Amino acid sequence: MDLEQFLELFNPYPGNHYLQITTQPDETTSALCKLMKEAGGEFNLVIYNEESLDLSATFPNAKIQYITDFTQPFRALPRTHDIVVFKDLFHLHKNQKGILKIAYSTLANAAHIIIMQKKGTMDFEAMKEMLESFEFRCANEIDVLPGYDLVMAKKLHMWGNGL
Amino acid sequence: MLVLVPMDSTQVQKAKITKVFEAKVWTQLRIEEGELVEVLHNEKYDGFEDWSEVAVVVSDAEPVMDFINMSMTVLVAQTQRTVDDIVEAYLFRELHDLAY
Repeated sequence: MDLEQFLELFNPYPGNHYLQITTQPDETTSALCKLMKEAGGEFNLVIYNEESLDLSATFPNAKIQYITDFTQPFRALPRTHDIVVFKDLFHLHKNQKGILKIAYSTLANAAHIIIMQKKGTMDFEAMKEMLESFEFRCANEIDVLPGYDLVMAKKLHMWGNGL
Repeated sequence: MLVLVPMDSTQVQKAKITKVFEAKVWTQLRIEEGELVEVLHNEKYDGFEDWSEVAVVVSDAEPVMDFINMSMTVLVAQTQRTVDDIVEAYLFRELHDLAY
């Protein structure tokens, strides 16, 4: 998988926190983990999977949360993260509004949310509308990863929910 | 709005709010349009099907990090003890914000 373009979406600074929420880690997970390690930031991972996986050896620097139930929320402190990435998970989760709300509250101001899914599983217009209604702004579809549909949006200061 | 409260029993009329670690049962109050419409109980605070939005605790010194972690607002019932009192105080905005 050619990740060069994908990684251009990210511009981490020391102390930044990134969060990826996914069903199965892949090259993007390792690449983000490496990126954060090099930048001196922190990488957090949430794995939704019915089977129990142990990934602490694969991602020694990441804080990993395992969830087996697709109706359950993930845990994240408010205003902690600078980017939240949902990979292959958003359409599977039973409470999409709930996880969007958590993503909103865990993002810092002017931070980004990325929703990516395998090509053909995402309705762009519906997704952008949903992001808009949860006060994410500037939703854009970006074609940077072969085989994936990707939408990126931004949480803005004093818009909608404000803080 | 779904309000989560640590309680000492499932008897809604008699139950009193307790400390988080001493909770015998967790009660989820569904408050809609100014009234209490549903009361659910569970052994675990994260065992409810619908996600709670507000957690009510007895003091500022309670261990609330996990509630904050679950994106809940934490409110403090300084004087209210029963479900009725807590619901009333919630509706009239008399529950305190967490002081930390």
